[in-house]
Amino acid sequence: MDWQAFLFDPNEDWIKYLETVSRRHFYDDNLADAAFNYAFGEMQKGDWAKLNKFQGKSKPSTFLTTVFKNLLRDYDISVNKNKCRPPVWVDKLGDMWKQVYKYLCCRYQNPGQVVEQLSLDSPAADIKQAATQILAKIPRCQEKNQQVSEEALHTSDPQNSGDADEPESSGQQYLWRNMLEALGQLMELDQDTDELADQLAASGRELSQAIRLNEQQMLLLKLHFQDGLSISKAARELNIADHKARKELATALTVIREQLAKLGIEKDSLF
Amino acid sequence: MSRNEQDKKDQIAAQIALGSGHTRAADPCLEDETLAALVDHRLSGKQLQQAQQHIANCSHCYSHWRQVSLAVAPLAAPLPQPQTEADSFWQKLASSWVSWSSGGLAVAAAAILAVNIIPMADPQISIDDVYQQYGQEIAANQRSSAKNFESSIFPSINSWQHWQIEQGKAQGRKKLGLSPSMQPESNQHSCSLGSDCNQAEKDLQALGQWLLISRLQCQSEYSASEGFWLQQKNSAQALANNLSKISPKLSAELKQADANEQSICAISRLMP
Repeated sequence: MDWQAFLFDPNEDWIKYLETVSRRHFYDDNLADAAFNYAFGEMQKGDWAKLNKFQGKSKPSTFLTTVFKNLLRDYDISVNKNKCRPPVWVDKLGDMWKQVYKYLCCRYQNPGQVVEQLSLDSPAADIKQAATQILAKIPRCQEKNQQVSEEALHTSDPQNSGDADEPESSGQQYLWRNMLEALGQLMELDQDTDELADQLAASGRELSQAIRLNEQQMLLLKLHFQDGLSISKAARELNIADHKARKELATALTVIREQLAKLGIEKDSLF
Repeated sequence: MSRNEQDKKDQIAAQIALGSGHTRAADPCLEDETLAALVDHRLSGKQLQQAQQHIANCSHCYSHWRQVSLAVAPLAAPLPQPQTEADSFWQKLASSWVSWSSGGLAVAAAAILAVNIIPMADPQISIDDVYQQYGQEIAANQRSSAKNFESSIFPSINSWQHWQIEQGKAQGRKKLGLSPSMQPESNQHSCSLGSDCNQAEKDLQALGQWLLISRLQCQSEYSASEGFWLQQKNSAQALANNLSKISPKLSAELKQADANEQSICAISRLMP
């Protein structure tokens, strides 16, 4: 495939498209432009070597986007050398929370800007709440040069600790407390979630082993409950019928409740 | 924000399940082309299962998948092409929303239609022009789905409002050469759009015409684009604001429909 001809086809304007992708990724125009130059330069290297790996399994435009987005991420990481990354409890709450954290604490946007930037992907009210929660829990996150990743050290993410089998109980408690507190605020729950957090932390490894869901169920849970997509849209993302998505979600929720009950984690007021 | 109790409980249960897993899968991250093929729904069988299994357990790849999916959504619709008469429909349609409406609706409607398609360079055109020049083209492939299109959309509207909207839809159908709709029996004051109607009648009849054309539009290939759906979030809200002077109830229902489905397409789908 002639990527040079593809990219510079005057009828398609892919360059403009990639610029838009970059601006959407970075929000800050100067950063976006620098990232575009970096990513485009990387693609161009070796006579479009990265793009020449294309074997026709996807649309060329989707492949191009995937490669380009990957390079934007590389650039993002390189400019955030202090490893500004969300604590694990934010990570586990899903993409919307991670994005909010990134804009608030790595790019130092104010909450209004964050809402403006992300409200196409997730409900604005949820973004606003998430921003409020993050700032409440990590008040110094908007201070430049703040080592926010310090938070992650207090959690038990197996990737951080390098020990997937023996998560530290206090780390788990910290994780669940933060997650449930944040969720409680987001959903305007009036129940105290501390007890549940303790129970979940105490169940440790058993919990992750007990809740066995198939990949579609997991993805539907993420798309619908974490990313805020309607069930129909989530179904479209997975290329499955609406009714199948609804059935899978219902099954998944039943499985989760049953397994929690088996572990003795039953909280009528919450699930 | 208000969520019902069951939603909250489901959300907590879901988050517990998701939070109990690892954020990194044990297997290597997906290659670019595999991820692209997943976005394009071109994987099947074991390959699909493996790819989905990976992104379900790897927050890095999941996030990448979602971001690529969102980025390519507008490409599901054709990219802007060199201008021809046929290609400029959506652009002109966007412009004509502007001419029909005012204030927020104009901006929102422009946003709806402009997102995939387009700078708004054309001079504004009227709804009549839209139907005359482009409607037949759209309707050609939509005749069957446009057949049953007559009933009232909104429970609260009164018979006069209903009749005016139906009038607008009937005018649209006639312009498109579709079979005539059943005219609501009424002894209401009759007027035709643009002649002896007062402003409220004009607005409601125009709404009927727009609902017809938007229904057809939403059934076209553009409805497949996630970006298209996302960009319509504000449109119904703006439409509702525009109609609030005519009927606060109708306006409220429109807002409610928007809250539920967030799309003018969803509103037009409410029509049986």
